[in-house]
Amino acid sequence: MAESSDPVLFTRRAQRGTGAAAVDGVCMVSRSRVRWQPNDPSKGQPATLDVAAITRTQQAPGKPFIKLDAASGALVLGFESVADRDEAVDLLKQLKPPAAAPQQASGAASAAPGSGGIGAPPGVLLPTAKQRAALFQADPDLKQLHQSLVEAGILGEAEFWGARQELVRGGGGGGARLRQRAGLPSAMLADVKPSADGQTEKVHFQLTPQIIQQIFTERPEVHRAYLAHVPHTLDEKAFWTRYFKQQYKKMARRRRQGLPVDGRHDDDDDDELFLPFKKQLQEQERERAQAAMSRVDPTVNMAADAGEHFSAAAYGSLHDGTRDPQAALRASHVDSIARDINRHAAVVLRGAPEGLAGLEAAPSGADAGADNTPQHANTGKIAAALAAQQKAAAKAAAAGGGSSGDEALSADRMEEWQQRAASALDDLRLDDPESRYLPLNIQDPRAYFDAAAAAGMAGSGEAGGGAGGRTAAAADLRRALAAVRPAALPSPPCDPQLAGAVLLELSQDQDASLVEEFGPVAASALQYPPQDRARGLPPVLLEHLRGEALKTNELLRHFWGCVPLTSAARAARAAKLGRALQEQRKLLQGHLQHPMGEGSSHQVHVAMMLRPLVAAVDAALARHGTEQQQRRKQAPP
Amino acid sequence: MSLTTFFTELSGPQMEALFAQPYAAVALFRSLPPPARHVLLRFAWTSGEVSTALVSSWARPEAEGKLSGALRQLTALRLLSQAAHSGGAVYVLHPSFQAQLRHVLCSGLSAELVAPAAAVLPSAPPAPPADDLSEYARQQWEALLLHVVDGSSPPPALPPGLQAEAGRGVDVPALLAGAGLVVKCEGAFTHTAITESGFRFLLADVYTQLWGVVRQYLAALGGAPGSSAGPDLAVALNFLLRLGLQAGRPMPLAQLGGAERTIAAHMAQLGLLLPASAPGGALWLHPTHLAAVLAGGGRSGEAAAGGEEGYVIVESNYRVYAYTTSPVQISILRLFVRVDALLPNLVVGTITRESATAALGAGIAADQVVSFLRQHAHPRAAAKPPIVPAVVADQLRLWQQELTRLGAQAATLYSRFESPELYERAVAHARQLGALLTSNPDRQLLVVPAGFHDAMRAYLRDRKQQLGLG
Amino acid sequence: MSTSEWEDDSSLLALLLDVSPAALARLASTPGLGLQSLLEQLLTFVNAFLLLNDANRLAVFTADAAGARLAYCSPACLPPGAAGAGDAAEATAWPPSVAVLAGLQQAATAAAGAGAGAPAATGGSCQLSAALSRALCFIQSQRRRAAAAAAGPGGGAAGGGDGATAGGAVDEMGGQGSQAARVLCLSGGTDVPSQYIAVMNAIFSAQRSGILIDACQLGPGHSAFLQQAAFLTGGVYLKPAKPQALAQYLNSVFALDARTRGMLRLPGAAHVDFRPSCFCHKRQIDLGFVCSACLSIFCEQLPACTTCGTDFQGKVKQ
Repeated sequence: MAESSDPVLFTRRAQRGTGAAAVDGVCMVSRSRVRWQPNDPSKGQPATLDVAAITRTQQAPGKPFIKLDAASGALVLGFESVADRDEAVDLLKQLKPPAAAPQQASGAASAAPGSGGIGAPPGVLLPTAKQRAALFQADPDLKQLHQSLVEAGILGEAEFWGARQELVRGGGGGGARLRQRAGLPSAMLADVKPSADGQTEKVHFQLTPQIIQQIFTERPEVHRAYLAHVPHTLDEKAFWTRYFKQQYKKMARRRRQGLPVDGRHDDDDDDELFLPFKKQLQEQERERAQAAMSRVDPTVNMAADAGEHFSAAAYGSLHDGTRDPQAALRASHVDSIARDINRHAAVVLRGAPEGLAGLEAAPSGADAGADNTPQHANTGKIAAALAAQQKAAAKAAAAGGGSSGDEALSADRMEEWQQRAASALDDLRLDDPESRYLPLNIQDPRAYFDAAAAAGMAGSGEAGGGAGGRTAAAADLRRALAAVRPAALPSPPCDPQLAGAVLLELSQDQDASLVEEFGPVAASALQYPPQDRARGLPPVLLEHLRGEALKTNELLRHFWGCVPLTSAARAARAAKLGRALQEQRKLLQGHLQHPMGEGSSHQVHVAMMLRPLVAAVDAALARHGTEQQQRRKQAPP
Repeated sequence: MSLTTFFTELSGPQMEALFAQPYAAVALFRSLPPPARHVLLRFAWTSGEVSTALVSSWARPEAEGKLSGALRQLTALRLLSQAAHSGGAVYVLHPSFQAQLRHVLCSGLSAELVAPAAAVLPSAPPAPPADDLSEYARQQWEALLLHVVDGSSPPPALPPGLQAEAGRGVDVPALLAGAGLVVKCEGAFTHTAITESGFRFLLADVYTQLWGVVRQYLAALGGAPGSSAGPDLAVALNFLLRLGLQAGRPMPLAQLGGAERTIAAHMAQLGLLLPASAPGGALWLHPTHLAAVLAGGGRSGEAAAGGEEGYVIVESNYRVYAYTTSPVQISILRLFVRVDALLPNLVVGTITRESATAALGAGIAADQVVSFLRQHAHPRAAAKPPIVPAVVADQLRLWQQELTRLGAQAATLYSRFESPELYERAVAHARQLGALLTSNPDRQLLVVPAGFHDAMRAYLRDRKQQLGLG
Repeated sequence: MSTSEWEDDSSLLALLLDVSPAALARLASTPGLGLQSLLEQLLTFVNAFLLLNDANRLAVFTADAAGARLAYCSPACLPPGAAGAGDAAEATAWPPSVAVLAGLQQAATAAAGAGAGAPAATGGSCQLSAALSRALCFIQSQRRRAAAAAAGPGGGAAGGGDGATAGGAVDEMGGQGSQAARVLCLSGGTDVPSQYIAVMNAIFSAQRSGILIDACQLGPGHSAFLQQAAFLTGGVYLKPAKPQALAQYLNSVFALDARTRGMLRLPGAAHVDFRPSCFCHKRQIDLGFVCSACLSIFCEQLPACTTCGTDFQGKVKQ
């Protein structure tokens, strides 16, 4: 009924109206609309509401009714259970824009039986028939899974594909592909080579929007300078001329084997046009680093090497009289090249900013020499777009940072850290605040350390019986030590029969439960190396077991996707999956006990294969049990 | 030659006699490869019977050969034997061996032997400095080696003070001749010449050398191994092994039994014991590292050899520098090195094609030469592998292959077959037998080793009759 | 040559014996074992280990709540000149169990003396981290000495190089030259989750320097720490089903050196408990939060990593 572009996400039996006038029907919710259809068309008219048009959602506490108000009139639906209702409410809440979110569902629902498809998160892309056929053909396991889970009604279509969105999106041919992001050329800026005509002293630089964009992203200071100056104080050409003059000088110097004769720093001679912005950027960078530092637990400070960098790169080497000062300069020079390369790499990896891909039109000749073919519109656009994008990113970052809300280190946070630190360095911990300041007595360091160690240990163990128990145990040990005659130990020290049994035990795979279950057969079965164990089994059985294993894993994956059970819908889904898992467990258990040659080594091998699965199912069921209990405790019905 | 091979040759009663004391058991245990040792250890506390299936399941799949090799060796040594027990095959550990192994694990080697003695005796005299011990051992052993190389040099002499026990001492030349290391050449004047096995002996490690000599010594003492020499051999061997296992612990000569005294004196002559007089005048014997090598299994043999300073440096240009003054070492080097210069503490030589092929022709394997060079490498050279440059090692092997490039083998050539079909069948049959050396279908020729001639002839006769070729 | 194939099967074994009160109480009450029998069986193992190869070296540590102490080490492990020559001769005497027992007795007396002096300490389980570190340091010092000795005789001048080259040499030696080393923990206690980081650090350093950690768990339940230690370092973790026959377990499994383990099958790690303790509260957790930058583990969601300072901005991977 629903068009393929607007798949039905939710289907439940529901009555329209209340009381005796209620008409049996089915409620379907798709992404954009809520539909109700009567089972018997003669008894009522189908109704459709746009999700966006719903102004209010009301539900009766404890009763499975929902009232959807809209401009066109209200739709009152009665579901079979509160759980179904809650699920519908959850779904509508998700579908509606947050401003118009329906009011909170009141009254937590306990897991109740439901049937039919299960609601899936919105935004799930279902494969087209063609896509699906292609997928199934490519992966027979997928087809089998689909058959055994979706067609058997255990999982909903949307749920099944929801876990495989990347398949649907990427594969199958013809699906909506993610648009590939435009990349950047990996040529370095140094490749913007000047061209000289050989007759005049002029040097020409060729600029394209791409190059400009690259310059802006790789050198934020240029970008800022451009934004600040270009239309007002400088014209475009003058700006680029200055930029390239500076670049040219830099390049020339680098070519001179990197020894700045005048002893100036490589970065020092930035044009005063860019310098303030550069400083501004450095300032920001430092602030960011400090912010990161402030989040670090000061007791475990691995970010502290930020300071070391200074001393190593500049101060330390410069002030070290024994070193060659030229060497330091050379090093810093190499540093600056390395920084350029790193910056370039980062920009290229990040890719072209969105929305700028279209600007790579015909190359525009902006040049630094004298030629004048001004082409400014694009450059301005690029600069503006970049700026807008950066601002947006910054805003997002600020919003994220704000939510973490730890601008300054609060006192209790600091205290907590200190406690953690104290417990982390366990061997150094001193619980007794007095002894923490015990002065180091050089005359008898041993006593000090022994006392510290003893104090540090106090409380970490779970009561070994107190000092009395301790000394008693030590006395026992000494007594036992004294009783041993080391040159005439009892021979043999253990019962030979027992020793033989130990050898037997050790040469089996230590799977005590298997041995217990199957007795001596297990021992012989386990003598095979693991890769040989499946050899004797009939292929049909192996194939079947494989299918079961895939199915179980799929169910488990969906189950764990619902945990924790934070909403009624999740709880209902988890309950349903839990039941399916229980079924599956019974089935597996059946295989485990299935007497295909009672106590044969095949049986042992099957058991070894299936046991991890059963254990995983058990773990999931146990988790489900505890979660359910917690929910019940939180909200008694 | 090693302890294990020696034990393999012993008879049952001899084994029993040997295992009356723990020393033989321990020495044998230590000279086994590790898997075998661990198998024995796993047996030690059991009743001595473990099912064969269980034992064979101990191996990792990729190392099954190692375990089965170890089991084969243990069976050959009769430490393990297969038996049927309550419906299944079991390995049974040699009961006396097991008893001794248990005894050693619980009470050590010497509960009865040394502990009371130590109580009665005056405390042992201070051991001579370690340098003296090893110097003495080296001196005696080198004298023996030198005698192997050059029959005219004097064999190791009996140390003074032991004449009462040993008379004239061991007849070293006879011992070496008995071991097949040298032969007496009767000629214009009688002299001894080194044999092929003598060459190999010189290049072998100390452990192998020592056992070669000791085995011959024991054989001379109690008749050839395998004969029922009985308790004498057991006493001697246990005594020898005890020397090694108690390295560092001197024993007073006066405390030893009559037979043991003689053996002790002989071993002092070979360098295994250093006689030293205590202040009271009693003569004490201090085991040297050679004694430890004897009992320690191959592993400690290597260690002992490594304990001596290496002295050889091999360069990739085939130059050999040997920092040594020892005539034995020089003459061993001379076996395969052309000596260019003899300096006060240094021998400079070159491995040449001539010198190497001469050694290879004398029955020494290239690998032996390489391992000798490696074993005695100067510490500086040993610190950075490859110790022997690959080019030198490879060239030695190539020279060896060169010597064996052509070999003569008796073969039979069949030609003039009556029909092509007969020829084809004959070739197929030869191939089936694995006897086809070469065949030439164009000329209808077929060559098989001479040993297969009878089989081929019979086959051809049958074929001919079948094909009606008469 | 047949000998070269197995010339280096000697090894250095550091034996950690848990003598914390909790463990002792536990061991003493094991039916059919008892402290004395345990010690006797252990001593037969000591004898067996030293019998296997005369180049085998042994060090025995006792570990209790107050830390670890060295109870015995083979005379060859002592620094040269530390003990008299006569001492060495005595200590090589068979059986070594005599000397080991004497060492254990000394350690027990010393521990009792220290315990009396310390204020009422209620330590329960042993300081596994301290004991492991101690053993690893011991092994490392042995390796260093071996490396120095190997470099020494050729040229004493070269031997005095700086720390960096010495370290490199040691690493290299770990591969070929120096003795293979392993640690055997005879544990009787339970894990102390607060020691998690320290123990894991010890395990990783063992792993890095190629030292196996074996574990024989005699205490109640399984020890997740020791399981992980054995798993990560390639050692064996074993909980004897029949502790009365401890000697047989020791001889059959733990006597095997690293090389022989490549030949003989050992009981595998059936189920290793890989659960970590979180860095913040030292709880053992099934499901936690991991810092994407430094892999620190937390039991609760944090705004930023307390180890490396990475800002999660509310997005963390579970």
